[in-house]
Amino acid sequence: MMKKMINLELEGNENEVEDETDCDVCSADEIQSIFAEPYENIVGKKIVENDYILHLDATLETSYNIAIGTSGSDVHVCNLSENGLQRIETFSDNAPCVGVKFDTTNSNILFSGHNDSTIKMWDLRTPSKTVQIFNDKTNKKHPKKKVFSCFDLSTNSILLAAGTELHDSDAYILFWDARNSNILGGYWEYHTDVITQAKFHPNDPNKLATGSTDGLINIYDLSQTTEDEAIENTLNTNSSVEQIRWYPHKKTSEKLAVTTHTYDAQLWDVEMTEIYAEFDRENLAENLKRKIPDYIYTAANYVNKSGELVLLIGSNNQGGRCLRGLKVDNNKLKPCYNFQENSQRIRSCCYNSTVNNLLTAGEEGVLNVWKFL
Amino acid sequence: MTSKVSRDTFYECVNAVISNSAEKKRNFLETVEVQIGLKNYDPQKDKRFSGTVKLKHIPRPKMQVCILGDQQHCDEAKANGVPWMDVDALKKLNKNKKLVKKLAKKYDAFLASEALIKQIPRLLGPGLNKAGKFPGLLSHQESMTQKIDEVKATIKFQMKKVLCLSVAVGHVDMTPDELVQNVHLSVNFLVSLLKKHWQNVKSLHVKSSMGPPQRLY
Repeated sequence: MMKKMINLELEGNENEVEDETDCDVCSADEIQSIFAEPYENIVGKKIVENDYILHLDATLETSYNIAIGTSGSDVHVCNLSENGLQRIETFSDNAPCVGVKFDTTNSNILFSGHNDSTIKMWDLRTPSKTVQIFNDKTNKKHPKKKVFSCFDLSTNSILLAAGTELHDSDAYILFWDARNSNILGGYWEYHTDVITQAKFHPNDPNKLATGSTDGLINIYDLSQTTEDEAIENTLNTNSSVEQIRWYPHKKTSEKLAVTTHTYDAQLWDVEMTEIYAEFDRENLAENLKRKIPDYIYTAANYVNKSGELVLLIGSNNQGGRCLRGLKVDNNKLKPCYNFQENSQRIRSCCYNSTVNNLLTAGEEGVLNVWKFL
Repeated sequence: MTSKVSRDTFYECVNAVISNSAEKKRNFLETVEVQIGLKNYDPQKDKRFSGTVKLKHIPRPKMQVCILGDQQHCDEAKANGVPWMDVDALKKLNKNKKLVKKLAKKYDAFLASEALIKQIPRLLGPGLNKAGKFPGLLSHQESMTQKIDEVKATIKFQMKKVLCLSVAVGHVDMTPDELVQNVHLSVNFLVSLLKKHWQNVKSLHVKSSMGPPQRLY
């Protein structure tokens, strides 16, 4: 029996056009005057065919190394100097990458995490074999290994932490001594789903923040002996955590920039356990001067040499060509950069404060380097 | 967003779900779910498809939300007939895993005052985290009953390794209008998260717990 149909206004159905394309809400000249901060695109190079670039890291010299982790089997290392970009090494036959990270004390040492449950340590001076492999051998009888989903290295390069996919309905955070590959132990009590992010505090090597698809961010004090004592704080995003980044803010307290899998950006005051600013797709589209919020995605973010947090936001439409930078000014966003030469959806960025360079990479396998003046 | 599903199709499918359920009454309230099948999507390298969405109509009216409150919130909860606990009650649990587990089981969700939320991991241990019920924040600037309704109206979704996702958006005792609005809202939201929108959608169905699926797209 069919019930009577009522003429009903459905939200979001207004002004619909078939196969719509996203565009700016103002002219190209106006965009240039709004996103007016100057930059120079010094590198735009396809590094990878057929795979995405998912992870980037760079060292901090004026002539610096760049690590590139892909969705395929390769990890590439390039060097950028006055002579331009040179590929210096390719490490092949790996499982898809879950992260790359240089040793902060030695730019020849690189760690790469892979979703076959290994973190590999490479030395660029002896590239033919791995120096060390970090994995979890604690339960040899278990047929399944814990699959890594992310990792980080503490700023003093002493501790390695990896997050895992669900393993028999538990998600683990595992720790190693980075100098001798001994597993130190793990946590598994405070998350219920895939750990998507593990991030050491930039100044305190004993502080770790982890994010998960369960929507929680946990802050741990690793100097404590048990997990129950180590947990300092839980932040509930009420969503699913994609990226987190520690950042300085007025220097007096600690902040985390969080992006979710539904493309919201949340700025957390960690000590107060509260969100002090939140931007959804509607806000971001407005700040980006784009017409269709449903195409907005949160690409990445970084902290520049003045200590400002910059959000890189794009539109998924037209292959993700639109990429812009918004600076966070207290709880407001300030338009800064329009990265016109960008050609792809961005999946990772990193920043070299010594030379004021931003590196972006993504789904076309292209690496871009943007030099700020 | 460009909707590839007409209003008439939404109503036809939702009405079919309701009438199928009415013909074959079950002795429980059937849930209505939306199932979405994806294409041109690689879970190995594309972004995870996971998050929450707030629906227009509460899909699970029987959901019980407990307030872990400061004095003011506890008083307000008392006045509104909402279950509540104060710091002293939480301290009495003494981090006892069994008691915390029992508390987590008793309610579907928790909201906590600012003053309390910071202490929860220390006071209760991992119990609420482990149950997937770590409280949301209830501030003094927002209305308690509105916030509770918001919690009740918010659903979680997450795609695992298979290219198919199912989300509960209502139940068969809701009116067709309410169901259509919830189905429509969740479909549009989910599709908007896919980088190529409808080009990533292989199929869309709506069904009740025991009934046959109705194809939307």
